Order: sequence, then structure tokens, then C-alpha cells
Amino acid sequence: MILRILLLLAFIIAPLNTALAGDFGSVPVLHDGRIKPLDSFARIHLKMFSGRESIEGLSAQDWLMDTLFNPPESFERRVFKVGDPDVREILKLPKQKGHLYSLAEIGPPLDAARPIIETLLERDEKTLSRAQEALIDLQVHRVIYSDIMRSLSLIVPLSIDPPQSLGLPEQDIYTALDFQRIAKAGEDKLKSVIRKKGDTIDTYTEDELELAQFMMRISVLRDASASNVIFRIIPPQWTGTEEWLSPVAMVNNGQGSPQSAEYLELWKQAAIAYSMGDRAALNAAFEKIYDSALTMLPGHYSGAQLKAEVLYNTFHPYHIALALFGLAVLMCAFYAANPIYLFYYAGVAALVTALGFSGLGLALRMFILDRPPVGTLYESILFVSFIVPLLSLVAERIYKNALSVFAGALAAFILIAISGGLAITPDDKQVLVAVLDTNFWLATHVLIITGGYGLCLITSVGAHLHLGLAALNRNPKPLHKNMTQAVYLGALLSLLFMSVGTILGGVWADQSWGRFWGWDPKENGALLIVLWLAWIIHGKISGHLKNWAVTSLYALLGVVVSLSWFGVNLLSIGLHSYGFIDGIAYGLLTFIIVETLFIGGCYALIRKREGACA
Amino acid sequence: MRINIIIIALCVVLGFLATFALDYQQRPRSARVAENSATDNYKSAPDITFTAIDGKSFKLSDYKGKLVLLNFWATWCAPCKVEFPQMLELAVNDKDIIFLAVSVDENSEDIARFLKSQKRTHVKHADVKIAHDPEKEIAQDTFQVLKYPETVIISPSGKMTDKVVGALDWLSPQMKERLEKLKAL
Repeated sequence: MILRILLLLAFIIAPLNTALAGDFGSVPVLHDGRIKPLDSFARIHLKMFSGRESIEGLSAQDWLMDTLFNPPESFERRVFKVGDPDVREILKLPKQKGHLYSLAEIGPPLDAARPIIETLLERDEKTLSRAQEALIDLQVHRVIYSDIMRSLSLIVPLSIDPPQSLGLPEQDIYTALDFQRIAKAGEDKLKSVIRKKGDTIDTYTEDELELAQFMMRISVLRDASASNVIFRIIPPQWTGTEEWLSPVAMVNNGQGSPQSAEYLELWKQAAIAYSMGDRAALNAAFEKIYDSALTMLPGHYSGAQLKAEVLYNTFHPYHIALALFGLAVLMCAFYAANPIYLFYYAGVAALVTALGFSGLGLALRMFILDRPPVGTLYESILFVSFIVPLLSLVAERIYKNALSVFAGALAAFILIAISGGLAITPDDKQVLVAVLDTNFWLATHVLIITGGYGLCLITSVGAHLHLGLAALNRNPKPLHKNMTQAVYLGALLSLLFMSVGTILGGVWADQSWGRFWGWDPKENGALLIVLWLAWIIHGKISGHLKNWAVTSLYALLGVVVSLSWFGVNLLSIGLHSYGFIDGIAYGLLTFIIVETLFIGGCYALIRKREGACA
Repeated sequence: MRINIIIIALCVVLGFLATFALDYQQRPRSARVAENSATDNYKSAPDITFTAIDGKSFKLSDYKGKLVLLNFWATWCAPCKVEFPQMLELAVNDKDIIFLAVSVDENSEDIARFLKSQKRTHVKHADVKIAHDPEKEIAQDTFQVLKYPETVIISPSGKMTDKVVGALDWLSPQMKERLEKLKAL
């Protein structure tokens, strides 16, 4: 049923974005270990080069199609963003709008800077400055872009005519694959000419010269694309191999088959249609390419997953959810300032709708990746951004004071807003590392732990609100009682989830790594949250921690969770290597300082007021 | 309170059931794929018409029920010439194997010259077929063979089971064992 709804949505929405390209965006490609539609391939690479998903009025799909089928124009297209002023200085690049440059513009200066780049590549990554890293990245991007440009070099129409003496039947359009037919004959003829006349071309006849030039051009073409492996559009053709291959690699490795021959022929038809500007023929060709690719897909993968991914890319459910969560925060703030019920209901409606989009995003990701949606740090944030507002709705049903909606929407808004920066690779739908590739443990340990993070965050946000309102002296007794109760309940549930999740993690670690506990940073982080909560709850029950101290410590739970969730990943040590990230240390430090100041400030204010009252 | 406990317990039970269902769904699937790849995943060979060096035509389907070694070769290809006699030997000595050698040479004279260097009785044997494909319509256009030698093994049921890239010792025990297995498919 869910699949049907998704496909219906895909049917309705996908054409809006892919009207120009037909089924091109849904054609499968193996990239970074995952089968994905060309739409994702296009977006990932265009974003990698230019930092955006469209360029010069072209969508990512249209950009990719033009790069594949029209390499000369792609050579001149400004797609490389050189944002670092030092890199622009090293490469002596002129000022350009948006700091975008073409391959033609960055190629020669990068060649000139090759000695510098080679020296940098030999150095330890950690010793590189930001500009040096950017320079290396630019060189890597240039290589990838060149590879994409040459991906279809075997089948794109060429403006080269073969010498008649080689006997290739006359055609309107020739491709490199056509020239393969006469390559041996050409070689033999040229060898015979060289044997007779040597390599001094002045003595060659016109026909011999034409032959020599032709053979040189096809040799250059062959060499330029010889190592091309990036565009893996051809599924495994023979039993015993699971490797997807690029057209060039398939021919070079002798992996062609009757099916792949037909498949490449369809790509050739598409290339010809593109060069003729015949959109109808192009769309028809891609329809056939897509259908043909489906027949070659591995058994466990379906076209519906490809369509669902195109839908996800087109639709951006989290962008919509982000806007709606923001709207819910605003409505609740308006309601607090001016208690008109319209604001209240608008806030709740925005939250519920946002939750729907967030849930749709999760469901699509689960369907596309065929696993629980918590395999990476990025995914765990998205999952928590779903759990937090869901819990806040439950709390809102009990307390009906808009504070829960405000807290849930605010937390989800912040989480989704920072999630993009924490997706470590350009593809946010990564393949799992081996240890995580188990649905059972992902659906138990990881879901419970991330659910626990969510509970901790909502508890912390609730405590923040409680402290803030008390500091502003807007904390009437019934509200105080409700909020104390809600935050306490949140803390108890958080402790339950974090404890069970941590123990389950130990059991998984025992199965995977042969030990229950290894004082790994990530394990210590989880334990830190459990101990923090156990300390506050015990302190509260035993009476050692008083009212506002307890609330302040609950509020600081956000800091403890952020240290455990993100902070330990900065250490880059331990067995949880799949979560390592760079570049968030300052952000985390700022967060901790702001939190400490806010919570400490509120606590001091409240204590001062209470002291004055006493 | 009791209702709440029942709801929570139900959620936990459903969660566990869903988890096990997910896990169960994943496991047999990989087993099924492995099983399929052994039998059903082989593609049927296209029923192509070949032109023999004597100009007569024949079809691949003429040899249904026999194991066909569809070899793409050329007289200018040294490794092709090394494995050619071994494949002849195989076909001549095993009535269930057909050696179908498709030459991509431009000139039929080159083929004739090469065949003269082979055992005449072998070349003329009923289970040996030498075809000529100078335009590379079968090699390149149909089977996408651009480097030589390459051999496609076609089972008695007409399925393309293996592709051998480069020259091979066709008389090795391992190869013979493999061919015996393929005869049953």
C-alpha cells in the first residue's frame, strides 16, 4: 500500500522536474557502492563542483546530460566554484561572478600548479591549511569532471570521418565504437606505410597522411578514456561478477554481452538524438534505456526504489518540514505574546504537517535504502527530528499550553537545519559500513539510542523553557507544576531508553567485536548520559539537589547529549569510525558556552529573585 | 493505567515482531539470489545466423542440446592461435561439445592459411564450425567483443553460462570439470 502511494506520488511529481529529460533521471548507476538514479548522481556531482543543484538555468539532470553528450560545451561551462581567495591567487584566476570557472579556465593553471599539488599530496592531511585542502579538492574535482565528460566517449557522435581506404561503410554519424571495426586494418596499413616511408610525413601521399591523422585521433580518443570508470551504468553481465561497469571498462575488460550491446546501442541512439536536438527521440530512447536497465537490475533492487529516490530529490521533504517547523515556532511565539486560539491551532497544524513530511522523508529513505533510517550520524539527526516533535505532540495532548509544540518544533527546526552540515559525504544516502549492515541491530540498539537522544533533547528543551519562563517571572504555579512533572517524566523515559540502548549496544559489540565493553569514546558517551540522568534523578529523589538546580541540570542534558552524539566523533579514535566528522569543534564549543551562559544566567536570576522574596 | 500498560506492551511486541520480520526478510533474500544465480540468472543466447568459411549459413539453434564454445578469434591474434588447437581437440573428442570459432579476420585467405596448419581431420570434424565475421556484426555488434580471444560458453539449453576473456588452457582438469557441469544445464 505504502509503495503504491509512493509510486503514485512519484508519478505525479517526478514529471514536474524531469520534463526535459524524461526517464534519464531514473536510469540506474552504481556510484559510491550504491545503486542510485542518475538524478542523484547528477545532483551529487554538480553540488560537489559548484555547491549548487542547478547551473546556468540547467537542472542537475540537464547539466549531466549535456556534460555526457556535449563535452565541448561542457569544457567551457563554468561549474567549478573556487571559493578560497588564496586558491584563486595561486591559480591566478580573474574575478568571476560567483567564483565559478570552467574546466578550460582552471585546467592550465592547475597543470602549472602540479608540482605544488604533488608536494601537498605527500604531506599529512592534518598539516594542510584550508587553502591547500581546497587546491587538492579542486584538482580532484577536475579529474572527476573530465572523467564524466568522457564517460560516453565510445558512443557520442564524432566529427571525424574515416579514410575511405579503410572500407568502413558510409554513415551519417560515426562513433568511436564504429572506428573499432577498422582499428586493426588501419593499424596494419599505417605500419606498412611506416615500414615503406619511415615516420617522415613529408613523403606521405595525401591518403597516407589522412590515414596517419585518423589513426592518431582515434588513439588519442582511446587513451583519453582508457581509465574511465566513474559512470558505472552497466549492471553485471555475467554470473559470478557483481561489478557494475562503465562502457569503456566493460569493453576493456571483455565483459560485454548481447544485452549490454543492445543497452549501449540505446545510449548511442540517445546521444544521436541529443546531438540532433530531437527531444522526442531522446525521451523515447531514455524510456527504452530505463526499461532495459530494469531487466538487468539485481534481483533485490526495483525500479520503484529508483523512482522513489528521484521523488525524494525533487520533493525535498525535509526542506518543507523545516519551513513548517519554523512556522510552528512562530505561531506558538505569537500565541504566547497574544493568546488568540487561531495562532495556537495554526502552530499545532504546522507541527502536525511538518511531522507528516518528516515521516514521509523517513519512509522514503527506508524504502530507498531498504533498512532502518539510522545508519549514519546524519540519519540519526533526521530520525531524532521526527521523534522529538512526535513526543512534543503527546505532551501537548496532556498539557495543552503550546509550550510542548514550541519546544518540539524548535528542537526539530534546529536539528534539521544543522543536519545538512553533518552529512559527511556528498551523498546523504550512504552505504553502511559492514558492522552496521544488520537490520536487527539497527532496528533495536540504534533506534532505541537515537530515540533516547530525542527524549533527552525534548527534556532539555522543556527544562530550558521552564528556566526561561521562571527567569522572566512568567511561571504561574499550575504551569510550574506541569512543567516540572513533564520534564521529570521526560528524564525518566530518557534514562530508560538510554540504559536499554547502551546495554543492547554492548550485546551487539560482543557479537561484532568480541567484547561487551571496551571504553570506546562512543560507549563512554552513552554511559555519560546514563550517569548524568541517574545522578540528577537520584539527587532529586534523595533531596540533595533542589528544585531549580535539578531543572538546570536537565537543561544541561542537551550539552551532555551533544558531546556524546557529536563530540566524541571529533576524537577520530575508537571502533565507531563510521561517525567521524571534522569541522564542528567550534560550533560545539560555541553551543556549550551559550548553553552554560543561558542556563547559568537563568539559574542565577531565579535564585536571586527567590532570595529577595524570602 | 492498565490500558496504558497494555498499549506500551503491545507497542514493544509489535516492535520486536517488525524487527524480526525485517531481519527475516533480508536473510532468505540473499540466499535466494545466490540460488538463482546458479540456474535462472543465465541469459539465453540470441539465435544468430553465421556464415561458414565455405559460404554456407547455419544457426546457433542448430546445436541446441550440445555445449557450444563460441570462440571469437583472429589469425593475427597470437593467444587465439595458442588455444585454437585445444578447443579443436575438445570438440573432436567429446561428442557433446561444439567448437564454433568466429573469425573476425578481414580476409578469408588468412583463415584458410591458418586452418591448413591445423589437423585436417579436426578442422573438418562435424562438431567444429568455423564462421567468418569480417564486418564484426556478430563479434562487436551482437556480443560486444572487441578484444580477442573471447569465448562464450552456451549450455545445451541455449543459456550463456560463462564468458572466458583471453586464452585459457582448455584441456586442464579444472576446465574439463567445469564443462562437464555445464553440460547438465
